[in-house]
Amino acid sequence: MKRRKAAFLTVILAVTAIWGVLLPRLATTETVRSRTQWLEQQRIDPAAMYYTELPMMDRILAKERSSR
Amino acid sequence: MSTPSDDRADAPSSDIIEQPRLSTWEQMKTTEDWWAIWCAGLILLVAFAAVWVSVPATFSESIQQGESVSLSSPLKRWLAKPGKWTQNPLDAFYVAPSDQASATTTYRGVFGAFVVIGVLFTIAMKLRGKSAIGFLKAFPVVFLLATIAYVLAGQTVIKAYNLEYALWALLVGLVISNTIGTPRGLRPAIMTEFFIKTGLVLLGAEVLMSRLMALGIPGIGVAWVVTPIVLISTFIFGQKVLKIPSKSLNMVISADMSVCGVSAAIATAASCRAKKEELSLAIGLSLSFTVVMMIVLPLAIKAMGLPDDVGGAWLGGTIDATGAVAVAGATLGEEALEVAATVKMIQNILIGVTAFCVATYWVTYVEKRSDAATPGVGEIWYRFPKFVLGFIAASVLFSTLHASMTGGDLMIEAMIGGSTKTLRGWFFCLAFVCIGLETNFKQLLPYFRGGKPMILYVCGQSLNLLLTLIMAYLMFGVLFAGAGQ
Repeated sequence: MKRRKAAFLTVILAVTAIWGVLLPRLATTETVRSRTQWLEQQRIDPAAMYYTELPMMDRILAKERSSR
Repeated sequence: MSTPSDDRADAPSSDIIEQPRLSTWEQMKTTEDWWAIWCAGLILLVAFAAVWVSVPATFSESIQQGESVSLSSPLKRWLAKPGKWTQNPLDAFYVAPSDQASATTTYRGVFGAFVVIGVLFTIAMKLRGKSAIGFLKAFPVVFLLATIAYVLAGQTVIKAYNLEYALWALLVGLVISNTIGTPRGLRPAIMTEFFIKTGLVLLGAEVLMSRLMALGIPGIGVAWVVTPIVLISTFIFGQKVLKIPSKSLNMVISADMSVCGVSAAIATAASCRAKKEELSLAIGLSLSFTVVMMIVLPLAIKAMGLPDDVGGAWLGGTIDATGAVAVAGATLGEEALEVAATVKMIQNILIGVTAFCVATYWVTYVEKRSDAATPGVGEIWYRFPKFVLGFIAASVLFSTLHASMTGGDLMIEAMIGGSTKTLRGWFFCLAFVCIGLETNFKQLLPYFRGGKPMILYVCGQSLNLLLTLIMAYLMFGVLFAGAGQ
């Protein structure tokens, strides 16, 4: 049980380090910042699972609606 | 997906123990499939009614006069998922107002989703004769884990590279089950199939058939002709050539690779009662290849000098995940983005047909005993996963309302955007947390033996890339040149 708890705590520490320190630092790099800004400008959610989760679809559907 | 009692397809006939048969009425009162329909049906009814009562009195007139009208669901502020954050995870719940933007508040919506799902499922458990108190005690913890998964997925860097919440929800559950072990007290709220099926019936309302003709015949050609050919060919290849022992694993990988990634994998896995490990494996494969294809395919399109609309159609028909399709399309330009996203949307709609056909094929041929004749209509009805009917019914009903009511498109979009989409996301996220909590890494290892799932994915995706390229070129480059503009 001790080994299991240690493994659990190790994972928690790793997640805290990655999401708490590493990723926020990466997010401040020029490459990531420009990519994020570009995605926001295009209104794209790269993690969208279905078309209704893509904010930019509003634009395409509005265009389609007006052409009807 | 399968439970220990419904492994009929894999079990030798001598091991099959006949369960006492329930009448359809009894099933309606007790089974998960029917309760998924009741719960999702109630959510859809309330969500639609909320939009209906908030419609302004002059709505119809404004629509008929061609005026621009915007609608929003009054439930929107009460239902949300954690938002995006960059430096501070708490920003996922609240961002103070600044000079450039107003305050972003999601904590109220997250709590609202918790209350809605918690209350609905507690009542459902009580009425089904299950442990409602046990569910009520365990659900806050499972919901908290799903919230953590959403927060992990919401970090800007993670989000920018298409690493969807499903992956993090799985990992959150896996970490607990494979280290300290899943506490027994959580078991009453580990309702993987109930969450998935309810989410799928809600997804049915988003499968709007009127979107099918958004790109006319060229769109249908790429999304609806190539996709079934690839799906069926990959399944046959997996069975006849690779001899993959699990038909359901074969089918889930074929569907998630050919249709549209995670959402198709979830629908197909539930339709063919795949094991939870099989769904996890298929999603892992899909997300890994999606990240690579999202970067490599636009480069290949530029190198080949393909026109933007042909390139966009190729991206939309081949990259699994919807978000990744949009990213890849946008790197090529506005026209490619629009064609890619629209082809993907048309392909998304294929989920309903896929789920129905897979469920029918499974109960008719795959689950049939080798020594038995093809089952009759009554037998097929008995075995058929009923939630698929709810999924199809939701799709037909909301497609009809979307197409036939005055301003129906605006009302349905407000309903989806303001409530059902968010709740559907929570149901899937909760389901993946539950899958993680129920899975031991050791159970996943046998699936990697011989690398067959990987070979299946690579071969199927290669065929998909080739056929979609030919069809995209034929449709957008030759027969209907300029259709994407």
